[in-house]
Amino acid sequence: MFAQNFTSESPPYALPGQADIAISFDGYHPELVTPPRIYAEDISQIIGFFVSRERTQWSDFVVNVIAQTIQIYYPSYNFVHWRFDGMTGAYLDRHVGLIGSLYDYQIYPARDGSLWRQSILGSFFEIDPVTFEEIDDSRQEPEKYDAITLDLPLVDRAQNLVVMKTNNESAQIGVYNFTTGALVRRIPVSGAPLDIFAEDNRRCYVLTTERLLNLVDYTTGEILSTLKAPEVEAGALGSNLTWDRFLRRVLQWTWRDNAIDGACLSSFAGYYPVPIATGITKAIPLLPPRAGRTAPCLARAYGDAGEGIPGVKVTPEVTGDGAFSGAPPASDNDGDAIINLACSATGAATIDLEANV
Amino acid sequence: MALELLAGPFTIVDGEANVLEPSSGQFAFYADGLGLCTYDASLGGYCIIQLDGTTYLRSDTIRSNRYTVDLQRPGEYLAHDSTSEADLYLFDKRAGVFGDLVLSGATNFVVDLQVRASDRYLNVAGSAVRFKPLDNSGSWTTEATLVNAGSGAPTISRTRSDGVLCLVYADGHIVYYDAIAKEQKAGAAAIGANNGAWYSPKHNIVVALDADELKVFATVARPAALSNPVAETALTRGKVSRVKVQLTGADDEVCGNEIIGWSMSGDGELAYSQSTTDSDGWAYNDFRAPVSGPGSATINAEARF
Repeated sequence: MFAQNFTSESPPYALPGQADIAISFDGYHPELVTPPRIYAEDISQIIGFFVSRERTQWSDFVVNVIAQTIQIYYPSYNFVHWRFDGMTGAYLDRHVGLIGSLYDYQIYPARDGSLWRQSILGSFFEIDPVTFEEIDDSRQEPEKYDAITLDLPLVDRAQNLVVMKTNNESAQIGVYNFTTGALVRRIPVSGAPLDIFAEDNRRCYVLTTERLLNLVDYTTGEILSTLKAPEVEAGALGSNLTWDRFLRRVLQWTWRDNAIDGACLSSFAGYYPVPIATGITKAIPLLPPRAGRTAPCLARAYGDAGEGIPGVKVTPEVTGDGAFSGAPPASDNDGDAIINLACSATGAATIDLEANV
Repeated sequence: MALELLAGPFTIVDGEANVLEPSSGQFAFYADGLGLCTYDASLGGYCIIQLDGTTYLRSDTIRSNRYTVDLQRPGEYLAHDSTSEADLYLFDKRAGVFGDLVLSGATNFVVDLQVRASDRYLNVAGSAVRFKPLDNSGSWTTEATLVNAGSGAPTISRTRSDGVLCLVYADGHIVYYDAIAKEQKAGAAAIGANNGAWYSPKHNIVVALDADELKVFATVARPAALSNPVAETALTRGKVSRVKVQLTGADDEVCGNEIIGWSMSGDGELAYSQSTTDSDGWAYNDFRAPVSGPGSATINAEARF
């Protein structure tokens, strides 16, 4: 579990008659404006969630959410691009209109800030970061990579690599030469990849099934850590993850059911990519407790993937024939904390542990 | 030597307190810094079990696989593709994923590989320690015969000494084998029937799996009997005599570093109110007999738990 440190505003839906969508006749999706609902649109899927360098009145970067929507106006659907201030999460503005073609799917950010989009044809291509139109000669066809479909592309032009999941990878990611399409390596990960996003110039996060998140050095094939991604809240309709390279944090968009009047309640949250403890084991004696002796007892602070959490200060409370002795214990790099139990007499002692995280 | 139970049994449960029965024996291993690493079908993959039995999924693997201790990368393991036991891979125990292919052959080609040493593979069957070359060619050749071994294939783990392996059999026998010197090391012990048990070099404990329960054992025997005090030197009026007691476990094994409390009644006096047993289980005290007059004394010793 990561520590959440940030929550954005929810984007406002358009009301009937709002100029940017009321450009034709209505009559579609009447449920959207059936009382008590009053808004003219609703999210149907998220197709882009990424951070870009753009100046706002508060900071130098914005968070972008691009959604396909349904609406009461012809042609019954639309595409909305919402922008939020990266530092405050304040909603900035929206742009409406068809983005690319209907045969285009998800938008993926690359390490250098460029944007790439996946096609229904199994290919992917770079898009202009302002117009979102396909950039000529950027399309990557599956044949180049000896594959049928290309998914979750993470392009690293600096190292001439592309990290992705093709139909040839299952619980793996593939690292390919971006120029030739040659396979460089396959890296097994903790499940089938659901998302890949860059962390720095050679590392990426891979979200896998069961929401296990691998931090992978794709230049060496080494998995640096395995953690549990932020949980999707109960009742959520969907979620997306991306990496904020400016503040070095994980962002999670949570698509929620609307308010009773149809207002959007979806938002994104920020998390420091440092796991926090979700539990402590019982105290395990490492030596047989004996009257008149001090017995070291092991307690382990762990996260929700079972990983040891270092630096957790554990507060023991001992009752019975013993007492806590020594300095206040804190967990080491393995999450292990040693509690010294001074055994005062033959009998029994109970150790209760508490930690604030 | 029956090892003393330190903690447990702890029922193995997931984060929502559902009882699990994970893979055991050679399909599991204990790693300091992680926990007991194994597969659980109901959790759906490779999981990490904490010492108090709490279990979390670490990777979404589809089957239970057998593991080989890798002495070429101390602390690391190789994983069998146990679908057919034809292939052996490097294994990333932290992420729960396979790495590069190490060996490949026909069905059951790698099934018996329990340890990869620097120069050979090892297999232990009962008391026989056997080896094959690193290309896994040929047949197994016995290189040592163990004393006090159990039957069947033990679970094998590293110890604090380079190349020395801890072998724990399902019937509870524990023996130690030096894979470098190719000889058995001293220190046989027992923990009772189990489904796999492993030594923890960091904590100097033995972690044992028993169906859906986890137990933690010390590496010392639990005291069970204390001998009567005996005089090492004759009790002589006006002189100091050395008296001693021996502390032993249930199987007559000696119990060192335990506290013995001393008391007496009658004439004379003891030098110490408590002393500590040595590596042979003996604790000593000095008795000063009175200078004059007839008399008698009763010396009592008790082990303090």
